[in-house]
Amino acid sequence: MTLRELNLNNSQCLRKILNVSGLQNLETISFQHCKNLIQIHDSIGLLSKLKILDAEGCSKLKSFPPLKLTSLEQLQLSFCESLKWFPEILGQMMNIKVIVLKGTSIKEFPFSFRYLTGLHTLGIWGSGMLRLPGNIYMMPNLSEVYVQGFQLLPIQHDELNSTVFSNVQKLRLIKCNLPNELLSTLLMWFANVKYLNLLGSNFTILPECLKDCHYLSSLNMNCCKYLQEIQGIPASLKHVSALRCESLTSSSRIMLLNQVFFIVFVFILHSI
Amino acid sequence: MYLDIPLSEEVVEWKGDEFKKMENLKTLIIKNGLFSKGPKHLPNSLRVLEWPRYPSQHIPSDFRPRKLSICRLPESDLKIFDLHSSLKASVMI
Repeated sequence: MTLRELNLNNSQCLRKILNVSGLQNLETISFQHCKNLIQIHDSIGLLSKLKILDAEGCSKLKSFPPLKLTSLEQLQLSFCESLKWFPEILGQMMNIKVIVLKGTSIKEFPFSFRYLTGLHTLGIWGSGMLRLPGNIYMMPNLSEVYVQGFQLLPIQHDELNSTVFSNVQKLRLIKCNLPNELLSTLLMWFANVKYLNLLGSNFTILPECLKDCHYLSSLNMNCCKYLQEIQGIPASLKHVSALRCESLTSSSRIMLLNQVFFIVFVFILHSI
Repeated sequence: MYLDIPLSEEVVEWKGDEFKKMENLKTLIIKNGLFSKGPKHLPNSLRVLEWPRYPSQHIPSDFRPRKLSICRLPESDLKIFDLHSSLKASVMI
């Protein structure tokens, strides 16, 4: 069958997508906002020429078949509100560069997430609990990680493999509940980070291992109102913004003042 | 064939088998229009099928479009999408 494009967007009665294994030339399949879709046949994960898979807004979909889609460039699962698990990845899928997940119920990622070897940007927006993939620091092309609004859970992972260096340069953990140990782990994983944005996140200690982030040049910790202590900062740090860090100890403030060239430091005015 | 029916409340009354005699039709695009029922038959010669608000819960069971390249049925009344069983039948024939 020669079908290249299939579009069933906004089909409100659609409940099932049956076997599509006969559609091996399919390059685009889109069924956005099919709000009653509850079942997708596993064969959708085995279409070797598929480049775009768009399931945005399928709000009753609870699970998604495992994916072995070697040509896939775009995977859209945002606003699949009932989806609890990111789909298993069967084998390397190197053509997906960006994954953005907004408004899903995904709390966990499979171990196989690392097979998305071409991934450059991972962005997750939402609420509730979230455990980040336990091995994203091993993803060779991952450069930007954005997470917003979650209560982040400790990551289950093997011992940090010191021979692996993550290439993540931009790390944003915004308005998250961020246990101190998790922040330490993430900073060890992403030791090559250049831009770190922790706006409005809840944590109390910026750990000593931050000192080992030798490329860090910009740190935003505005509105980190529970932050008390900064245990170390790298010499590379040039820009710090620390508005409304109301709990920060005076020794930590002095450390920042002594070492950082450009600081937005409004809390000093508050404390006078 | 491109049908762009002016927006109106009026229902297009048809039998549903009007496409039966169009066995060489390659492109079928139907925009707007409320149909009294879904199609009973679609030409197997179709390369492009674009029918927003496709008015049936099913695709006709004898639809075996071996050369269909683009199928756009947004906002359809389809309950189950199943091209496989008709394709399987076409392979057997």
